Amino acid sequence: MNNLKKTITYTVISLTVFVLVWQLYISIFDVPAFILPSPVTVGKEMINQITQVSFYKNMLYTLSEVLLGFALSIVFGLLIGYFIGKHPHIKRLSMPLLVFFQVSPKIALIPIFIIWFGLGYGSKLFVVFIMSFFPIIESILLGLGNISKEMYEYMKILKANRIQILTQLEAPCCIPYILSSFKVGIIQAIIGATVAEWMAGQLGIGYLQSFASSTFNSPLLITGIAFTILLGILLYGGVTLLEHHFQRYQEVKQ
Amino acid sequence: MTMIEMKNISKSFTSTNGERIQAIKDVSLSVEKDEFISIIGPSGCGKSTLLRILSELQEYDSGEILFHDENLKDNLGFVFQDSVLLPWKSVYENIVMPLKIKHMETPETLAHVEELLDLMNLKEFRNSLPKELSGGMKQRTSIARSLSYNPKLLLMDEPFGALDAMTRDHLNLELRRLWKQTKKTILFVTHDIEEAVFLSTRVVVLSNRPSTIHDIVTIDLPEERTLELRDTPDFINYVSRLRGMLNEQS
Ligand SMILES: Nc1ncnc2c1ncn2[C@@H]1O[C@H](COP(=O)(O)OP(=O)(O)OP(=O)(O)O)[C@@H](O)[C@H]1O
Ligand SMILES: [Mg+2]
Repeated sequence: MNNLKKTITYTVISLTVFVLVWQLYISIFDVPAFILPSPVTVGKEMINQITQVSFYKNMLYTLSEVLLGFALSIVFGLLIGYFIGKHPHIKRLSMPLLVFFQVSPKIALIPIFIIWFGLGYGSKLFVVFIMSFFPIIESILLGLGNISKEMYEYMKILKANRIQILTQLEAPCCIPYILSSFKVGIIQAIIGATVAEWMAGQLGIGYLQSFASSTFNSPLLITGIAFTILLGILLYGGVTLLEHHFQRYQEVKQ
Repeated sequence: MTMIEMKNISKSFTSTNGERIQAIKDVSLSVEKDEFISIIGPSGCGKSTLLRILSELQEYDSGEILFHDENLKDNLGFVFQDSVLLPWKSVYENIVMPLKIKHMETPETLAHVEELLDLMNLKEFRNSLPKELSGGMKQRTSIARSLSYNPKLLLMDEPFGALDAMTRDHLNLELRRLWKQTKKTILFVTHDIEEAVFLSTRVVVLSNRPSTIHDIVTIDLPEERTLELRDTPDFINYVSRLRGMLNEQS
């Protein structure tokens, strides 16, 4: 707990310093508000936003895209990843494709997803899904690949059945890798969701930013960015908590 | 009473560069109930392979293996050369894991686990993770784990190979005591001749590849074995006889 207190203290201090430097910069160099509004203006805009229903609609829209898309990628990622990992031939066949998708800048694929899945919720869901799906698959392949032959032999000596091998050996060995992929995936998912919202549609925190940008409403734009970051921190924090819960399994990586 | 009968077991491997390696050839051996058999032989002759075949971790090419009863085969214990503990489980959790897998968690078996912790001097470390253990403690955990479900047949592949002499002496005494107390049949691979003589009722000497059984020596030493026994002429005789046989092989 003491640690948490320290973290909070340091965060508050660094944020305060950041805002002060920002304010000083504007005062000293006389920066026009449409280029960089002052912290006070942005603060006012933030308060203005959080008292409006539409803001919550936008936030919830993005949040639901991210959570639902992420959940889908977990379900399909885990199932397909395990299936691929357990079949050496299929693994070899799918490796080139996996590498291709892993390295491809998926942001660049968003326009095609919009063409395929429409301007609405579907295309965003798919973007989020794709963003986190491949890291999860890769994490399972990595986790399974790290299990030694002897571990499997030990399970065989015990006459463990397939389900027991999955729950007692394979799952624990994959958990730390899966959680790392969640960390990567959730951030990618937020990026994907907001970028897709810029490009199409009328809702979401990304849409709010593109609207602000096109109307040169810098305070609103910065507010949008700040809340995107906040969303990212919250979700990332959630995954970190999960990781904390499964701390024990980190031993697998040593 | 014969528990296991191996008849003319042969096994060859194809190495990565396509060569055929005949690991063991025509090995026949009957294992009696409550025997402690050590298997020694030149490095790479097929000692591990033999244990792996017995435990069905490895197929064999030809021959026949008869188990006196099937339960023996389905409920055997295997101790690997390096302990193969699950790194995320504590000592205690590692030891009870077989009971979980086999649905054998009862007050009696859990009490038995407590005895094993005591016997293997692991009480203080029951909540430690494997990474916090020394090599000897890891191996003791691994042995306790293989005993948790009270198998009648125990296969051990150089379980003390990586340990220092002191720890090894200690574990040899413990293992011998345990074997006498709990009436088990043990097949024990080692490259330490003294260890083999000290522990065993019989020592099987394998020849160089393609390995056959070169000789089987019955160890006729007192039941009660203490470390002092190793200085007696009888003991020294057995050791030098076996050493002679091994030297012929290499
Ligand atoms: N899976 C395998 N594939 C190919 N060759 C193998 C395999 N397993 C064992 N061998 C070969 O079979 C022979 C016997 O191996 P094994 O491990 O049984 O020897 P060992 O007597 O236990 O040796 P050591 O005393 O060094 O442990 C060796 O030459 C080894 O190279
Ligand atoms: Mg070996």
